[in-house]
Amino acid sequence: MAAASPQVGWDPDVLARIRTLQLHARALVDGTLHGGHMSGRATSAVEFADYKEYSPGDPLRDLDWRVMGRTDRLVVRRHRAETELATTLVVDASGDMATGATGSFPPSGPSPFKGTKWGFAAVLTATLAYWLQRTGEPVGLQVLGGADVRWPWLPPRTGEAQLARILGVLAQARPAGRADLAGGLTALGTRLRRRQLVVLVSDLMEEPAEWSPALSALLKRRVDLRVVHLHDRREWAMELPDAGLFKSPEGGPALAEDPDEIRVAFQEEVERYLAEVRSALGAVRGVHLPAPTDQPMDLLVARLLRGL
Amino acid sequence: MNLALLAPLALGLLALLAGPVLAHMARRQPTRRIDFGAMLLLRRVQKRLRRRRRVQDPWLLLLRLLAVLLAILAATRPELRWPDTPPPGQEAGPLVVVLDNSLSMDLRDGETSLLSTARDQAVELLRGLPPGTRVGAVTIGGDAVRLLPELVADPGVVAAALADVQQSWGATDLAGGLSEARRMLGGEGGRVVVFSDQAGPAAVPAAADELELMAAQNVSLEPRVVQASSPANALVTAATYGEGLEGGSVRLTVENTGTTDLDLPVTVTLPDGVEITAFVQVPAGGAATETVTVPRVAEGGVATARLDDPALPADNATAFHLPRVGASRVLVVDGDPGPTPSASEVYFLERALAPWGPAGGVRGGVLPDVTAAGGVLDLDPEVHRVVFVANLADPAPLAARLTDFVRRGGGLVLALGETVTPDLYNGPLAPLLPSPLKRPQALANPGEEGVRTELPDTTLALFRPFARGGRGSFGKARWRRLYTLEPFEETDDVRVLLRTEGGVPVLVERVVGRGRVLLFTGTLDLGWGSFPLQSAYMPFVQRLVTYLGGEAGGGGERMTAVVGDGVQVALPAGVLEATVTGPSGPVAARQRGGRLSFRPDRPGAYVVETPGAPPLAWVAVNTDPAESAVAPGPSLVALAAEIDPDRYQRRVTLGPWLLAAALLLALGQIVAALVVARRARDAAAAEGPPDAPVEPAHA
Repeated sequence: MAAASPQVGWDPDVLARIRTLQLHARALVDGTLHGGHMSGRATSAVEFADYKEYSPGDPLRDLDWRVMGRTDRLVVRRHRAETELATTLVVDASGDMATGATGSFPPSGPSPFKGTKWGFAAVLTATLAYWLQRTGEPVGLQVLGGADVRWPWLPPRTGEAQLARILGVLAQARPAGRADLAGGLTALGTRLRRRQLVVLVSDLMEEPAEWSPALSALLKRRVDLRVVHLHDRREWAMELPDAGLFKSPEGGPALAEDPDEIRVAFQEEVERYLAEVRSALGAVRGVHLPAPTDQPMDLLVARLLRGL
Repeated sequence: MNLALLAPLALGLLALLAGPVLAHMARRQPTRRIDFGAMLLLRRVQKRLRRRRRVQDPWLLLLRLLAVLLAILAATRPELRWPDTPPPGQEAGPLVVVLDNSLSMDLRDGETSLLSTARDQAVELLRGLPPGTRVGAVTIGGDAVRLLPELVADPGVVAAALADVQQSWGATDLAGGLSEARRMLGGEGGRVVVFSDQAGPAAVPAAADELELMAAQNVSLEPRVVQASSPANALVTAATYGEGLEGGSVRLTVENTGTTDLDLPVTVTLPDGVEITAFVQVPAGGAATETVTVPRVAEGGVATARLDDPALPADNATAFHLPRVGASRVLVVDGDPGPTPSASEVYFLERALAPWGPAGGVRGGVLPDVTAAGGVLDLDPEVHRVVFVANLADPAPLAARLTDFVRRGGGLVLALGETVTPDLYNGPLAPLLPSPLKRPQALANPGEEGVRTELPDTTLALFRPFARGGRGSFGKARWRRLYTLEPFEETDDVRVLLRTEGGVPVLVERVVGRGRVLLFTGTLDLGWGSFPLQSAYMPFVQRLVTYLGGEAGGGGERMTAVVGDGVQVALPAGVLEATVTGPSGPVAARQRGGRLSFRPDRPGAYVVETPGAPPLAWVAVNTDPAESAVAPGPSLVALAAEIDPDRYQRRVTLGPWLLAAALLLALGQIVAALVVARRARDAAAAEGPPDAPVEPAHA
């Protein structure tokens, strides 16, 4: 794989991170799909599907004249057009993504992406982009929130240059601010021109009631939505040792709480929240993929790639 | 025992308890900062749990609350008070023993009665007194009675008198006993020692006034409560006669105040001595009913129901009234016997009264005693329920007897006829006749059938049984001749029950005393009408007997009384000498102003009678129900403590003890607080500087 795109003036740290992302992505894709995948590159040909009896209104150019000549029957050839399926990777770079990861990264030694949900999300997104680039599918990127995001929106393209741009954006971005899932998804819905696959990688730490209406914009575009729901298992289990001032990296007032006091209630709230998320995604036929950050990433990648 | 607060206003300090609670509710601000990625969920949880603040260090809070509470209670100056007899100190003074020998003292505690135990204790007390102590004794079963008229300086004499005290059936006269004891002390101070079970709800409260007088006289009261370890009693609380199979039934209600179920025999003894035994199962703390069937024929009077309850034998018997059961004997005075039986004035009446013949009486029917005019002297109010006088020419010799019979509840039917003359009736029978007789009146010409009888009103008690059938038969009875009466107004006591279609009275009723008179203005045979030939005749005659004699058991007033209460019986005019016979023989009675009075001293049947005459009154005497309540009642010493608290109340001041406990708890909470603070410091030191932010671990 090529290195960074030549037209981008990266600083050394960013370049190192791009390299790391490439390594992670390659290791994950090759390790997961070794010998098992085939090129997904679609041709412009039209594939024959089956015959049907002619009925008024069918285009005459589809009539099979040979069959008519041999059998004196009017039959119509039906075809299945093969098309490219563009994929847009939407990654959440909000401030919350800078927290709580005990992630199990690919066995490629120390990584600057280890230790946060953002790191987990960046590696996963780069891996998906790499795989899609390898199979010749157009791949795009939208980054929600974050700082130092060079291109928040990269429309789907094919080719290594597009991959380089995606890796560059992921390597340079830092988690910060709010993701504004509602605004981001609504904007995405207006940008999509045709049926697409959208993979959202996020911790979804915004009220489902706020962002779930935006999903309808995607549904209108006949988007195939997959949501990788990142979370830290320790956070959701409230397995923290002592009381403390809990604060969000996105800002807002800190809350003094004792984990022992609220553990049960918090876990109940997690269940309630997950039910809301499932309900919101189920309404638009989206696929919900819970992804605890302590889960081996290769398993998650394999699950995603097989489903794509 | 109760708790009094001498400074109750100090309870206002209880508001201070809120201090420690609020202090412990206040949350300590943690110092460690945690970057948390799921703040969305945490905010939701906090919103939900906003009202549920946990108390910090609950054990420490408890200690502090207790310390403050005890200190506040100490400030209220609490005092524990309970009634108690005063400490001994006047052993040398005069002493009167009050011994309760009321019915409830017959309660058995094991093999001995409470009275026996109390008597032994009293005797032991007397024997332990210093020689020369002046002592007296009073019993309070029924009436308060001095065993010796005055105090004596020989306790042995009083002890001997006490040893002879017998069980009574009377109620507890505690007030009377204390009064007698106080009087025996003659206005000087002394001791009154009361041996009693203090059972029942009323005996002790009734002595309140006397206790005040004793306090004023500086008499010291020493109640010695004698009670069974587990007081229990079973008794017949009600016995009532009612209709039923055979000769009817007696329904017994038995109560069991004990804690174990009982299966006891109960024997009903009828006035004629017949005994009927049944077993009754009574649940603990409950009641049960048992029905005893009475023979077809039984004498009226006072019967007893005796329960074989070993706990309190004195209240086992319950007396109750039983009416005469079975064959009703009626006296038929035939004023016109005629030459042959079928020509007799009462030929139809006799057969209507006894359709089964003379043997019908044993089947519970009516036994007519047919007699001529002179036979009315055989009238026995205890035997005969109804008298029929048919076409009697001169009733004057019978008038007084008949009048007395009716006034006592008997029933009289006067039927007229050809031999009747108004002059001989209107005078002697004026107290009985609804209206003076006028003359016979022909209602039809010879050869005619006569006027019909109007259908009777079946809402009247006499004709109520005919509402289901037979009413029309009265209308077929025709009258050719009837006696007319002087005009009269119908009242509650005088009313026409039956008349002809033309409105001539056929049957007129008059209430006299407790009995009734029915004047039949026609004949009871076919002389003046066709009534005996109608199908309603026989049931109507039978109904007459039931109607007139249903309530009557003959003569004699039926009374109930309680042992110890005075009973007064009104004597009929002319009775010079009446006697009272109780269950154990003749009873002393006083006769004054036409009234006889006596006081029964034991339960059972009492009969008031004059020689050679039926009883004037039956009295069923039972024991006081309050005496059967053997559960401990109000405490005598508690009542005395209310009246004279300085003498009969013990007090303990709790303030110093509570204050000491509060101080101890205060010290304990200081130690506990130090331990908690030290642990907190150790924990803070282990966490590092308080304000060091935790940076996210991303690059």
